[in-house]
Amino acid sequence: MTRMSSIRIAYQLLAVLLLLYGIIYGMMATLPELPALQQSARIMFYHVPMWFSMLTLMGMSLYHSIRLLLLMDPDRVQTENPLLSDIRATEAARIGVIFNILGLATGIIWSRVSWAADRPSHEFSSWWAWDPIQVCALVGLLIYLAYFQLRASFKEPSQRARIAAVYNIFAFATLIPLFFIVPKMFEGLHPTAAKGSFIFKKDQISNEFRLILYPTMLGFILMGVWAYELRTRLVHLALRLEEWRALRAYTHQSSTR
Amino acid sequence: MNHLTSRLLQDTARGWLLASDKVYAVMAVMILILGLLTGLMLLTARRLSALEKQVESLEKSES
Repeated sequence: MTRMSSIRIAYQLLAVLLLLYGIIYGMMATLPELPALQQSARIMFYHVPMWFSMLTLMGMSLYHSIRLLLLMDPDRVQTENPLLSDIRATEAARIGVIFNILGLATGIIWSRVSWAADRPSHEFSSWWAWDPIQVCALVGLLIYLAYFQLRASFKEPSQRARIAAVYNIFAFATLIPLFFIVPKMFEGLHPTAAKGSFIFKKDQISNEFRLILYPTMLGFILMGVWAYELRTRLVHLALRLEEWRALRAYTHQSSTR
Repeated sequence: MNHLTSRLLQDTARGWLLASDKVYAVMAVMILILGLLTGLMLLTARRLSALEKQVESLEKSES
Protein backbone atom coordinates (compact mmCIF):
# COMPACT_ATOMS: atom_id res chain seq x y z
CA MET A 1 0.00 0.00 0.00
CA THR A 2 1.44 3.39 -0.98
CA ARG A 3 1.79 6.29 1.44
CA MET A 4 -0.89 8.26 -0.43
CA SER A 5 -3.46 5.49 -0.26
CA SER A 6 -2.90 4.99 3.48
CA ILE A 7 -3.39 8.76 4.05
CA ARG A 8 -6.57 8.52 1.94
CA ILE A 9 -7.95 5.60 3.97
CA ALA A 10 -7.02 7.35 7.26
CA TYR A 11 -8.89 10.58 6.44
CA GLN A 12 -11.91 8.73 5.06
CA LEU A 13 -12.10 6.63 8.23
CA LEU A 14 -11.75 9.78 10.34
CA ALA A 15 -14.58 11.43 8.36
CA VAL A 16 -16.90 8.46 8.98
CA LEU A 17 -16.06 8.32 12.69
CA LEU A 18 -16.51 12.06 13.22
CA LEU A 19 -19.82 12.08 11.35
CA LEU A 20 -21.12 9.08 13.30
CA TYR A 21 -20.15 10.89 16.50
CA GLY A 22 -21.85 14.08 15.27
CA ILE A 23 -25.06 12.26 14.31
CA ILE A 24 -25.39 10.04 17.40
CA TYR A 25 -24.09 12.38 20.07
CA GLY A 26 -25.63 15.43 18.36
CA MET A 27 -29.07 13.87 18.68
CA MET A 28 -28.69 12.28 22.12
CA ALA A 29 -26.56 14.67 24.18
CA THR A 30 -28.25 16.80 26.83
CA LEU A 31 -27.86 20.40 25.78
CA PRO A 32 -28.77 23.67 27.49
CA GLU A 33 -32.22 24.80 26.33
CA LEU A 34 -32.00 27.99 24.29
CA PRO A 35 -34.98 30.38 24.17
CA ALA A 36 -36.93 30.28 20.84
CA LEU A 37 -34.64 27.61 19.42
CA GLN A 38 -35.34 24.82 21.96
CA GLN A 39 -34.22 21.45 20.56
CA SER A 40 -33.93 22.85 17.04
CA ALA A 41 -30.61 24.37 18.18
CA ARG A 42 -29.19 20.93 17.33
CA ILE A 43 -29.58 21.85 13.64
CA MET A 44 -26.49 24.02 14.24
CA PHE A 45 -24.35 20.84 14.22
CA TYR A 46 -25.38 20.09 10.62
CA HIS A 47 -26.18 23.54 9.19
CA VAL A 48 -23.03 25.47 10.19
CA PRO A 49 -20.58 22.79 8.85
CA MET A 50 -22.19 23.15 5.40
CA TRP A 51 -20.78 26.68 5.09
CA PHE A 52 -17.32 25.79 6.37
CA SER A 53 -17.19 22.81 3.98
CA MET A 54 -18.33 25.06 1.15
CA LEU A 55 -15.64 27.66 1.93
CA THR A 56 -12.95 24.95 2.14
CA LEU A 57 -13.92 23.51 -1.24
CA MET A 58 -14.20 26.92 -2.88
CA GLY A 59 -10.73 27.68 -1.44
CA MET A 60 -9.41 24.46 -3.00
CA SER A 61 -11.03 25.43 -6.29
CA LEU A 62 -9.34 28.86 -6.10
CA TYR A 63 -5.95 27.23 -5.40
CA HIS A 64 -6.24 25.01 -8.50
CA SER A 65 -7.40 27.93 -10.66
CA ILE A 66 -4.35 30.00 -9.64
CA ARG A 67 -2.13 26.96 -10.21
CA LEU A 68 -3.62 26.48 -13.68
CA LEU A 69 -2.85 30.08 -14.64
CA LEU A 70 0.73 29.66 -13.40
CA LEU A 71 1.14 26.38 -15.31
CA MET A 72 -0.21 27.99 -18.49
CA ASP A 73 2.41 30.75 -18.35
CA PRO A 74 4.14 30.53 -21.77
CA ASP A 75 7.56 31.33 -20.21
CA ARG A 76 7.31 28.35 -17.89
CA VAL A 77 8.65 24.88 -18.69
CA GLN A 78 5.65 22.52 -18.72
CA THR A 79 6.09 19.84 -16.09
CA GLU A 80 2.48 18.64 -15.97
CA ASN A 81 -0.75 18.97 -17.90
CA PRO A 82 -2.41 22.26 -16.75
CA LEU A 83 -5.85 20.89 -17.67
CA LEU A 84 -5.63 18.54 -14.67
CA SER A 85 -5.79 21.63 -12.47
CA ASP A 86 -8.88 22.72 -14.43
CA ILE A 87 -10.60 19.42 -13.61
CA ARG A 88 -9.67 19.81 -9.93
CA ALA A 89 -10.90 23.44 -9.79
CA THR A 90 -14.22 22.55 -11.44
CA GLU A 91 -14.93 19.52 -9.30
CA ALA A 92 -14.07 21.34 -6.06
CA ALA A 93 -16.46 24.15 -7.06
CA ARG A 94 -19.14 21.57 -7.96
CA ILE A 95 -19.02 19.95 -4.51
CA GLY A 96 -18.88 23.43 -2.95
CA VAL A 97 -22.11 24.34 -4.76
CA ILE A 98 -23.78 21.19 -3.36
CA PHE A 99 -22.77 22.27 0.16
CA ASN A 100 -24.11 25.76 -0.56
CA ILE A 101 -27.49 24.33 -1.63
CA LEU A 102 -27.57 22.09 1.46
CA GLY A 103 -26.70 25.05 3.68
CA LEU A 104 -29.56 27.06 2.21
CA ALA A 105 -32.04 24.16 2.50
CA THR A 106 -31.14 23.40 6.11
CA GLY A 107 -31.31 27.11 6.94
CA ILE A 108 -34.82 27.30 5.48
CA ILE A 109 -35.96 24.35 7.63
CA TRP A 110 -34.36 25.87 10.73
CA SER A 111 -35.90 29.30 10.27
CA ARG A 112 -39.29 27.70 9.49
CA VAL A 113 -39.46 25.77 12.77
CA SER A 114 -37.83 28.37 14.99
CA TRP A 115 -38.99 31.77 13.82
CA ALA A 116 -41.93 31.18 11.49
CA ALA A 117 -43.73 28.26 13.15
CA ASP A 118 -46.92 30.29 13.62
CA ARG A 119 -47.15 31.38 9.97
CA PRO A 120 -49.18 29.44 7.39
CA SER A 121 -47.19 27.20 5.03
CA HIS A 122 -48.44 28.82 1.82
CA GLU A 123 -46.87 32.17 2.74
CA PHE A 124 -43.48 32.70 1.07
CA SER A 125 -42.15 34.55 4.12
CA SER A 126 -42.64 31.48 6.30
CA TRP A 127 -39.94 29.68 4.28
CA TRP A 128 -37.71 32.52 3.10
CA ALA A 129 -36.78 34.99 5.85
CA TRP A 130 -34.81 37.56 3.76
CA ASP A 131 -32.03 37.26 6.33
CA PRO A 132 -28.79 39.03 5.16
CA ILE A 133 -26.67 35.84 5.27
CA GLN A 134 -29.41 33.86 3.52
CA VAL A 135 -29.56 36.40 0.69
CA CYS A 136 -25.74 36.62 0.49
CA ALA A 137 -25.52 32.80 0.32
CA LEU A 138 -28.04 32.78 -2.53
CA VAL A 139 -26.02 35.46 -4.37
CA GLY A 140 -22.87 33.35 -3.83
CA LEU A 141 -24.67 30.31 -5.25
CA LEU A 142 -25.76 32.24 -8.34
CA ILE A 143 -22.19 33.51 -8.88
CA TYR A 144 -20.87 29.94 -8.85
CA LEU A 145 -23.70 28.66 -11.08
CA ALA A 146 -22.61 31.36 -13.56
CA TYR A 147 -19.09 29.85 -13.38
CA PHE A 148 -20.46 26.56 -14.73
CA GLN A 149 -22.53 28.38 -17.33
CA LEU A 150 -19.41 30.26 -18.47
CA ARG A 151 -17.49 27.00 -18.78
CA ALA A 152 -20.25 25.49 -20.88
CA SER A 153 -20.04 28.32 -23.40
CA PHE A 154 -16.48 27.47 -24.55
CA LYS A 155 -15.55 24.45 -26.64
CA GLU A 156 -11.79 24.79 -26.79
CA PRO A 157 -10.46 23.20 -23.54
CA SER A 158 -7.45 25.45 -22.85
CA GLN A 159 -9.43 28.65 -23.58
CA ARG A 160 -12.26 27.40 -21.36
CA ALA A 161 -9.83 26.52 -18.58
CA ARG A 162 -8.06 29.91 -18.66
CA ILE A 163 -11.22 32.05 -18.73
CA ALA A 164 -12.97 29.93 -16.10
CA ALA A 165 -9.89 30.17 -13.83
CA VAL A 166 -9.88 33.98 -14.02
CA TYR A 167 -13.63 34.08 -13.30
CA ASN A 168 -13.16 31.66 -10.40
CA ILE A 169 -10.67 34.02 -8.71
CA PHE A 170 -13.23 36.84 -8.84
CA ALA A 171 -16.02 34.47 -7.71
CA PHE A 172 -14.05 33.54 -4.59
CA ALA A 173 -13.24 37.19 -3.91
CA THR A 174 -16.98 37.97 -3.80
CA LEU A 175 -17.47 35.35 -1.06
CA ILE A 176 -15.40 37.45 1.38
CA PRO A 177 -17.77 40.46 1.52
CA LEU A 178 -20.83 38.18 1.10
CA PHE A 179 -20.02 35.92 4.06
CA PHE A 180 -17.75 38.00 6.30
CA ILE A 181 -18.60 41.70 5.85
CA VAL A 182 -22.25 42.20 4.78
CA PRO A 183 -23.75 39.91 7.51
CA LYS A 184 -21.97 41.96 10.19
CA MET A 185 -23.54 45.17 8.89
CA PHE A 186 -27.22 44.19 9.02
CA GLU A 187 -29.40 42.62 11.72
CA GLY A 188 -31.06 39.30 10.86
CA LEU A 189 -31.84 35.85 12.22
CA HIS A 190 -28.14 35.04 12.53
CA PRO A 191 -26.47 36.54 15.59
CA THR A 192 -23.46 37.59 13.48
CA ALA A 193 -24.38 41.30 13.37
CA ALA A 194 -24.28 41.59 17.17
CA LYS A 195 -21.71 38.95 18.07
CA GLY A 196 -19.44 38.53 15.02
CA SER A 197 -18.28 34.99 14.23
CA PHE A 198 -19.74 33.72 17.49
CA ILE A 199 -19.10 29.99 17.06
CA PHE A 200 -15.40 30.49 17.83
CA LYS A 201 -15.93 32.68 20.88
CA LYS A 202 -15.82 30.94 24.25
CA ASP A 203 -18.22 33.36 25.92
CA GLN A 204 -20.83 33.12 23.14
CA ILE A 205 -21.30 29.38 22.78
CA SER A 206 -21.28 26.80 25.56
CA ASN A 207 -18.79 23.92 25.72
CA GLU A 208 -21.57 21.33 25.28
CA PHE A 209 -22.26 22.75 21.82
CA ARG A 210 -18.59 23.21 20.91
CA LEU A 211 -17.83 19.60 21.83
CA ILE A 212 -20.18 18.40 19.07
CA LEU A 213 -19.97 21.26 16.56
CA TYR A 214 -16.21 21.29 15.92
CA PRO A 215 -15.71 17.53 15.31
CA THR A 216 -18.85 17.41 13.11
CA MET A 217 -17.53 20.39 11.16
CA LEU A 218 -14.23 18.60 10.53
CA GLY A 219 -16.14 15.43 9.59
CA PHE A 220 -18.19 17.24 6.94
CA ILE A 221 -15.11 19.03 5.55
CA LEU A 222 -13.34 15.67 5.19
CA MET A 223 -16.46 14.19 3.57
CA GLY A 224 -16.43 17.08 1.09
CA VAL A 225 -12.76 16.41 0.26
CA TRP A 226 -13.62 12.72 -0.18
CA ALA A 227 -16.48 13.53 -2.59
CA TYR A 228 -14.17 15.93 -4.48
CA GLU A 229 -11.50 13.25 -4.82
CA LEU A 230 -14.03 10.72 -6.14
CA ARG A 231 -15.38 13.21 -8.71
CA THR A 232 -11.87 14.23 -9.83
CA ARG A 233 -10.85 10.61 -10.36
CA LEU A 234 -14.08 9.93 -12.29
CA VAL A 235 -13.71 12.91 -14.65
CA HIS A 236 -10.01 12.26 -15.15
CA LEU A 237 -10.63 8.62 -16.04
CA ALA A 238 -13.52 9.49 -18.37
CA LEU A 239 -11.29 11.97 -20.24
CA ARG A 240 -8.48 9.41 -20.51
CA LEU A 241 -10.91 6.88 -21.93
CA GLU A 242 -12.27 9.43 -24.42
CA GLU A 243 -8.73 10.34 -25.57
CA TRP A 244 -7.81 6.68 -25.88
CA ARG A 245 -10.91 5.96 -28.00
CA ALA A 246 -10.24 8.98 -30.24
CA LEU A 247 -6.64 7.84 -30.75
CA ARG A 248 -7.79 4.31 -31.53
CA ALA A 249 -10.35 5.56 -34.07
CA TYR A 250 -7.69 7.75 -35.69
CA THR A 251 -5.13 4.92 -36.01
CA HIS A 252 -7.83 2.58 -37.31
CA GLN A 253 -8.85 5.17 -39.91
CA SER A 254 -5.27 5.77 -41.09
CA SER A 255 -4.54 2.03 -41.36
CA THR A 256 -7.61 1.39 -43.56
CA ARG A 257 -6.63 4.20 -45.98
CA MET B 1 -56.60 21.90 -6.20
CA ASN B 2 -54.91 24.92 -4.62
CA HIS B 3 -56.77 24.28 -1.38
CA LEU B 4 -55.66 20.63 -1.45
CA THR B 5 -52.01 21.56 -2.08
CA SER B 6 -52.09 24.09 0.71
CA ARG B 7 -53.64 21.54 3.13
CA LEU B 8 -51.04 18.97 2.12
CA LEU B 9 -48.23 21.46 2.69
CA GLN B 10 -49.65 22.46 6.05
CA ASP B 11 -50.06 18.87 7.19
CA THR B 12 -46.56 17.97 6.06
CA ALA B 13 -45.12 20.98 7.81
CA ARG B 14 -47.07 20.24 10.98
CA GLY B 15 -46.17 16.58 11.00
CA TRP B 16 -42.53 16.85 10.10
CA LEU B 17 -41.32 20.24 11.08
CA LEU B 18 -43.55 21.67 13.76
CA ALA B 19 -43.45 18.91 16.33
CA SER B 20 -43.48 20.39 19.83
CA ASP B 21 -39.89 19.58 20.68
CA LYS B 22 -38.69 20.31 17.11
CA VAL B 23 -36.58 17.15 17.04
CA TYR B 24 -38.23 16.14 13.76
CA ALA B 25 -36.76 19.22 12.13
CA VAL B 26 -33.28 18.15 13.22
CA MET B 27 -33.91 14.68 11.77
CA ALA B 28 -35.22 16.16 8.52
CA VAL B 29 -32.04 18.24 8.21
CA MET B 30 -29.83 15.24 8.92
CA ILE B 31 -31.65 12.98 6.44
CA LEU B 32 -31.50 15.69 3.78
CA ILE B 33 -27.75 16.27 4.14
CA LEU B 34 -26.60 12.71 4.58
CA GLY B 35 -29.06 11.31 2.02
CA LEU B 36 -27.92 13.71 -0.68
CA LEU B 37 -24.19 13.54 0.07
CA THR B 38 -23.92 9.78 0.50
CA GLY B 39 -26.26 9.20 -2.46
CA LEU B 40 -24.08 11.35 -4.72
CA MET B 41 -20.90 9.72 -3.45
CA LEU B 42 -22.24 6.19 -3.94
CA LEU B 43 -23.38 7.04 -7.45
CA THR B 44 -19.96 8.50 -8.29
CA ALA B 45 -18.17 5.48 -6.80
CA ARG B 46 -20.36 3.15 -8.87
CA ARG B 47 -19.63 5.02 -12.09
CA LEU B 48 -15.93 5.17 -11.18
CA SER B 49 -15.65 1.41 -10.67
CA ALA B 50 -17.48 0.80 -13.99
CA LEU B 51 -15.01 3.12 -15.77
CA GLU B 52 -12.03 1.47 -14.08
CA LYS B 53 -13.24 -1.93 -15.33
CA GLN B 54 -13.59 -0.50 -18.85
CA VAL B 55 -10.04 0.90 -18.78
CA GLU B 56 -8.71 -2.37 -17.44
CA SER B 57 -10.35 -4.42 -20.21
CA LEU B 58 -9.13 -1.95 -22.86
CA GLU B 59 -5.59 -2.16 -21.55
CA LYS B 60 -5.78 -5.96 -21.63
CA SER B 61 -7.07 -6.01 -25.22
CA GLU B 62 -4.30 -3.58 -26.17
CA SER B 63 -1.54 -5.77 -24.78
